[in-house]
Amino acid sequence: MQMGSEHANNPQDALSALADGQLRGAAFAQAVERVEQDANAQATWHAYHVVGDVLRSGDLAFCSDDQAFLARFQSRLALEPALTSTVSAANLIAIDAYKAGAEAHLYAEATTPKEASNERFFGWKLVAGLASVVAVVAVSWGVLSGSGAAPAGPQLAQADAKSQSSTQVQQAVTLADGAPQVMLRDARLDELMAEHKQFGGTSALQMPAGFLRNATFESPAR
Amino acid sequence: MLAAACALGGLSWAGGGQTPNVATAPAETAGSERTVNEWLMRMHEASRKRAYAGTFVVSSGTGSLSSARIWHVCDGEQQMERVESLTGPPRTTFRRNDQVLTLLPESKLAYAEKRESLGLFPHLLQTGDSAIAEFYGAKQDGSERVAGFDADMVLLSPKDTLRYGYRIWSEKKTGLVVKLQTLDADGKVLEQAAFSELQLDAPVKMEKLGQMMANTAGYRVETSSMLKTTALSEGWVLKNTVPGFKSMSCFRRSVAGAPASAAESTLQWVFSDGLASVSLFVEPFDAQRHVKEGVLAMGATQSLTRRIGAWWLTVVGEVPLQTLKAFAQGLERKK
Repeated sequence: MQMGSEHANNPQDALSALADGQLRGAAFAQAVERVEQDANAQATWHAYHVVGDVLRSGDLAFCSDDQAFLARFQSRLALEPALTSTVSAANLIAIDAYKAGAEAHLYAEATTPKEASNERFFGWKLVAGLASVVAVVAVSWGVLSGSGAAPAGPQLAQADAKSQSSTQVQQAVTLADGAPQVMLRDARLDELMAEHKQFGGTSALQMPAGFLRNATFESPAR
Repeated sequence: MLAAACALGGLSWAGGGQTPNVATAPAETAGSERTVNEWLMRMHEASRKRAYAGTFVVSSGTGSLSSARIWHVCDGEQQMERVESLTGPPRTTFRRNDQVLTLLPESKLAYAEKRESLGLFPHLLQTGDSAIAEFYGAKQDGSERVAGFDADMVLLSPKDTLRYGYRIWSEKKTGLVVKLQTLDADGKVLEQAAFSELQLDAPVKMEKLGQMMANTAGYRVETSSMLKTTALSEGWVLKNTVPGFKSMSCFRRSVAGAPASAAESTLQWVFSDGLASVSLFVEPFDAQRHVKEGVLAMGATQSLTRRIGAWWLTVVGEVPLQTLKAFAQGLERKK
C-alpha cells in the first residue's frame, strides 16, 4: 500500500483517485482509458466497489483472515517511510470518530478535512487534534481481494467509532505523539468504550448533555 | 473536602436533594460571580425541572456527526427521556430515572439496564466529595445564541494538565446546557454536543413516554448483569492515585445469563473527578485476542491498552493520554 504519494505519479493511486471522484480533465480521461484497457485495473476497480458495498451494508462482510492480513499489513507498514508532513497525513486518512453503526466507508474523504458549514472550529486541520494519524485500513478488503498480495491502492477506510461485532472491521491507527504506536481498533475496544460511556459517566455534566451525548452514538452491539 | 463544600455558599439539600436552595444562584447576578459548583448545580437542576424536546447533535473534531431527536419530561420525582437516533442504524433509547432501555429495531434486540452513575451528581456535592472546584475554575465568557436561545458561555478550565477543559453554553433563563465543547490543553475542540433546535416547555407527556417504554413487543429483551464488587476484593489497587480522580465503583460484567466467573468476565473500575471519568477494564490475558498494545483517540475519548502480567488492561476516558498512562502505571495486582 502506498502512503503519502501524489496521485498521478502512480497508476494505482490514479485509479483510487478516480474511484474517489478526485480526477479531472486529462488525468480523468487517462484513468478511465486505463480501466477500459487493462484487465488488472478493471479487477481492482471492481474490488473497490465490492468492498465499498460490503462495508456499507454490514451484513455482507465476513472476515476470517484477520491475523494473516494484519501480519502482512504490519510488515508493509514497517517498510513505509515515517510521515512527518501533516498534509500528507491529511491526504490519507480521516478517522470518523463517532459514526454510529458499522458504516465504514472505504473511500475516505481524505483530501481535506471536512468543513462544517457554520462552525468555525471545524476548519482546523486533521493535524491539530490527532497529529499524525497515518493509516486506516479495512480488513474485509484484504479478504475479498482473494490473493495474498497486499492490494495497492485503496486509500483509506473512514473508520467508525463503533462497528458491530458481526462485521469485525479492524483498523490500524498510528498516532504519533512522540512514540508512534499501532492500535487495533476492534469490535472489542468499541464494546469497552460503550461500556465506559454507560457506566463510567459519573459527571456533573451528565444531565442532559452527557447522557444525550452517550445515547446519541452509543454502540448498539455488545 | 467538607470545608470546601460548606464554603460553597449554602447550597442546602433536602432529603434526596430535590429542592436545593436556588437562591444561591439567582438569575440576576453577573455570571462571573458564580462558582464552579453553582454553575454546575444550576445546569443540573434546569434539566430536572422542565420538559423539552429538540434535536441533539454530537460532533468530533475530525468532522464526524451523529444526531438524535430527544424528548424529556420531568414531574418533580420522575424523569423520562426518549432519544431517537437520526444517524446510523435506527436506535431508540428510553430512560426513566436510572433505568435505561435501548431498542434496536433492525435486530429486534432490547437492552435493559440500571445505570447507577446517573443521578450521582447531587450526592457528590452533598457529601463534599466533589473536588471539582479544586481542579477546575469557572469563568463566564460572554454569551451567544444557540438553537434560538440566548446562552451564557462558561469556560471550565482545568487547573492541571491531567484533564480537559469545557466550554458550556447555559441557557440564560433556565441554566439548561444547550451546547457543550470538550477542549484540549491548547483550547482546540475535541468534541461538541449541542442542540441544533430546541423547544423548551414542550408538551411532552410522561404517560405517553411510559407507554412507549413499556412496549417491547417483538423484541428480545436482555438485561446485562453487572455485579457490584470492589477493586480490592478483586485483587487490584491503584498504588499511585491520580490527583482529583476518586474511585466511583467497580463492576464485574457478565454476559446475559451466564454467571460472572473471574475467568471470563471483565472487571470495570470507574474513576471520576466530577466532570471526567476514566474506566479501567481488566481481563485475563489471551494471546490470541490481545495482540497489540497501543493508544487510540476518538473525539474526546482516549484509550490505551497494555498487558500487565497475566492480565490485559484497557483504560478508557475523556482525559488526556498522560492521565491514562498515569492510571495504567499506577495499577497493581495485590498479592
